[in-house]
Amino acid sequence: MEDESEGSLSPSQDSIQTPAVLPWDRFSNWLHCACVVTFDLELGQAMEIIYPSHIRMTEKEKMNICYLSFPDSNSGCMGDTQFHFRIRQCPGRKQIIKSHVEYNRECPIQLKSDDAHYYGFVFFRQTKDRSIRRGYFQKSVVLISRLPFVALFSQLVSIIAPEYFENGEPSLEAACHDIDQWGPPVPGETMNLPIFGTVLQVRIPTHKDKLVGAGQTRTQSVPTLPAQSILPSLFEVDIYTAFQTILPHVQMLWELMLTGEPLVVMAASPSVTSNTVQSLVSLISPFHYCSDYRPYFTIHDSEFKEYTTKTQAPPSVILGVTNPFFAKTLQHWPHIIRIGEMAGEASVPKGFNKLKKASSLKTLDCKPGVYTQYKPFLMKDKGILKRLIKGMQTKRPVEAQNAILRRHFLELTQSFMIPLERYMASLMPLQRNISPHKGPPSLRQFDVDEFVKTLHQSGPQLTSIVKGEWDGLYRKFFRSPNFEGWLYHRQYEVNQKLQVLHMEALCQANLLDWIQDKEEVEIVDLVLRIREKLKFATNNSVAVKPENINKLEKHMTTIISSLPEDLQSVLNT
Amino acid sequence: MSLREIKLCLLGDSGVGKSSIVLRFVRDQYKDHVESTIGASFMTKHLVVDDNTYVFQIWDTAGQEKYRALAPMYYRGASAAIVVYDVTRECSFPAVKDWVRELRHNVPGNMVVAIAGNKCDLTELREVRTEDAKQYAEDIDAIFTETSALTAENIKELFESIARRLPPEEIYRPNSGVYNIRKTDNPEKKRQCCSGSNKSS
Amino acid sequence: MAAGPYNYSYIFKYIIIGDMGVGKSCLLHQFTEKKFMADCPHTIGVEFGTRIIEVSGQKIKLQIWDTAGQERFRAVTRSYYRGAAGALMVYDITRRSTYNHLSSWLTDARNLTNPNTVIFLIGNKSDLEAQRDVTYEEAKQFADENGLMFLECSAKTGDNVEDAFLDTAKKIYQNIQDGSLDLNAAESGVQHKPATPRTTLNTDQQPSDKGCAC
Repeated sequence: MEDESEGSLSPSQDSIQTPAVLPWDRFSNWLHCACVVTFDLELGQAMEIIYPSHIRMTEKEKMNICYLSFPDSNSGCMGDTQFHFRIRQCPGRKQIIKSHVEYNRECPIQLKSDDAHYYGFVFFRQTKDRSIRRGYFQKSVVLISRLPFVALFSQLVSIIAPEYFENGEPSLEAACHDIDQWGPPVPGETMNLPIFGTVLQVRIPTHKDKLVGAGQTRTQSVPTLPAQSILPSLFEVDIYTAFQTILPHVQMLWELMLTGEPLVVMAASPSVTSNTVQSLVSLISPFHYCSDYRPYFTIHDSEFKEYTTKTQAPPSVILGVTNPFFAKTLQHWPHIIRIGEMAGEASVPKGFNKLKKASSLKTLDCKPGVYTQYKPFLMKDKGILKRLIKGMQTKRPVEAQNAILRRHFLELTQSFMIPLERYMASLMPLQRNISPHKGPPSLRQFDVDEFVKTLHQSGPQLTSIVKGEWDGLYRKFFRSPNFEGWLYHRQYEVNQKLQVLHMEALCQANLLDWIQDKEEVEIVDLVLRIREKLKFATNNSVAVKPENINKLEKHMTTIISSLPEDLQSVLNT
Repeated sequence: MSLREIKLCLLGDSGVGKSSIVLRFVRDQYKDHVESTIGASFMTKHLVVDDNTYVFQIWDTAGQEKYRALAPMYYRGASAAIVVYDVTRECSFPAVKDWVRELRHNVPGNMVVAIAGNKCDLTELREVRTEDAKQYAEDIDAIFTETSALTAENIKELFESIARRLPPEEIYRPNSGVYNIRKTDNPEKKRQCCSGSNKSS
Repeated sequence: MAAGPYNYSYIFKYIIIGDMGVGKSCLLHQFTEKKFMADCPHTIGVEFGTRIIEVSGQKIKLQIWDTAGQERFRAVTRSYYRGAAGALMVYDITRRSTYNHLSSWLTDARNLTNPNTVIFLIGNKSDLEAQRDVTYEEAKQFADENGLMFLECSAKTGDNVEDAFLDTAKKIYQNIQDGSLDLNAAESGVQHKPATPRTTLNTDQQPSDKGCAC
């Protein structure tokens, strides 16, 4: 085992009592709550339990969770069904999770804690039960979180729910209590998460990881204990299974995702829609998908009207739906994916390669495929397809197919990203223009036309074999929310860096000399500026060397002591 | 020198001192008022016994009746179980037998079982006679010891005995049959002498 | 004009004076943060706020000193008033006593600042009309009689706050332009006398390599 502190596996606990941790603090580092949703004969879907009991949700949030915790069409889903959904958090005063602030600084951008949405991870059970009035038992256990840890939380709910169905509330209590012993998620660390007699082991990636999204292969060694379960990933989904029936079109889908096109995924089961929608979102990793996406969406959703309106162009969102009603409602959407069952395991289905026209989609009983009139900017990379089809025929394991697919799109996305990063770097002010007494210099504005000009020399063709109209693709990307989000984030990072450099310039300046001929008001101004810098360093506690902070503090003390005494006492509070 | 990870589970009635035993072993602490465990608590502890390092993964289960049905999750796959009773409460002893029965029924043969009579420092309040409990433990071929989480008496020794009693690693077969609880001349039973066997991976 | 070491052309020192509880800190906060501080602890010593504004195309940094109004903090008084280009004198329109003390505050201000220091009278809490204790007219008259600019403001709603700070700056700038404020008199770098307020960073005067990270 790694060098954990003795005692509990949570790093925050040690032999000294830590009184600052309240009950449910640690639980809330991971989950917002656990719910049980049941089918009430009078009310329809209803929230039976919310745990812990002090968690408050608005009526709207509760209603959305209730509707989204059950599959639309009951007939198809006998037995156990697992899927996940995403809903909006209602605006209002929210508890700030301190560990999430620190976590968000270090984690990969696609894994940030979402402060405007909740993810719900559902385990739905439907069985025949004569003892119940309608003859059916229907219930869901749902875990709600701000963290998009799809793989982990799906695994978690699959451990907790069966026990709950067997043993009732005490198991839910015990599970939540187990989770309340977990240490907070720390990027870069491998977490050991005890639950129900087993320990889940999973590594939290950091934004510095070179291959976030390339997927880790399962470790070969078998753990010595059945009590330990190593998760290959916190968040990766099975994209190969998701796209199996539409493999030839995945590159086109990648373009659609990159440029924020509206997309609807139709399938018979929420497991399929949620896996497919999540897979689509992960296609453009390491870009953060900035528009809304709903792995499972119903007609009862509070955003139903907003997203299905015909009076405006379809919004930039991705919807996963199972209700046949949507086939008609969303007929006007430009890109529709219909996922069906695979004909036979090893065979390639008929009509695999053809794109279908949207107009031929009448009901949900249509053939699987992609319905669109979109013309991709880039030419299809046939090599990857050949490789995957061969894998299908030779029964290559799903994990391997996943690894191949993920890596391929990661590299494609990186090829797209590299010229953007290069251009970004050219917008940085020169080191020599950083002067301690002016404010920190700012980044030059991103000029789309200027960027496109650089593509000729240093575009994606340098790192990718895919040919086509890359500049057309970029221009479309620039009009999308994904670009806005990326730019905002990068600018923020760069400006932070500039603040740090500015601070260093201030440290290195000979301030004592400088103040010799300055008016009192200028010297006070300098003291105030130094104070602001120190405050910035404390609040951001990152990338500012402690020795620089000490230097600045010393400067400040010396400068103040050079002032007249009455002013000194004023400044020394 | 080997390193072995051992899943270990504590079972027994509410209030006998399971959590206190764990707290004493893991952190060498004692608290007068320990909250009733919900579900289970999880802790780990390294222990060196005869040149081998053992990492105990300890699941301290709740004694309360409402969590009874959850216990299988916690003892499933465990290499050892400590069934605890309170020497000052006779009524906590029958539960020991119930637990042992359940373990023998559900768990493969190699699990090391220890019976621990806790609170042995309270000599004037004793209700369970040492000899009776000891005899029972011998009958079922389990380790027996009386402990006190308060004074720390026999706590470390308890875990040491368990470590010594563990079968050498290659014999650990999760799917072997039901353990024979009666004393027989079964030669396999005698492998308890494999103390300190050094099968490093 | 900003080729000097700063990216602003001037620094104007403001002080805010007036009785305790009239809302000096809230006015400062409203101006620098554009927010109303509902729970405002009593100021201890001096607190500072800054904001860069623009007057006639020039960027000006306002360095605003906010003090507690209590008598015992008057120990720091001299340093407080010294070099002030503008003084905002605040009373509370719902408490007459704070208005009555204005003469005393004005005397201090006149004695301890430069004759050209712009003094601006602010009647704060204009949002509490129902509790008004001082009329606009009488305060206006007092202001006119004493050559003060005047506005009723509300730190809570923000009403007129920007204007008060900005109008003061405009007046100071005007004084510089029409020569009634002699910037060069500060050249001897006196820190003990009531120096000519603000300072400028005339590029010619600053040796360009001082403090620059070139």
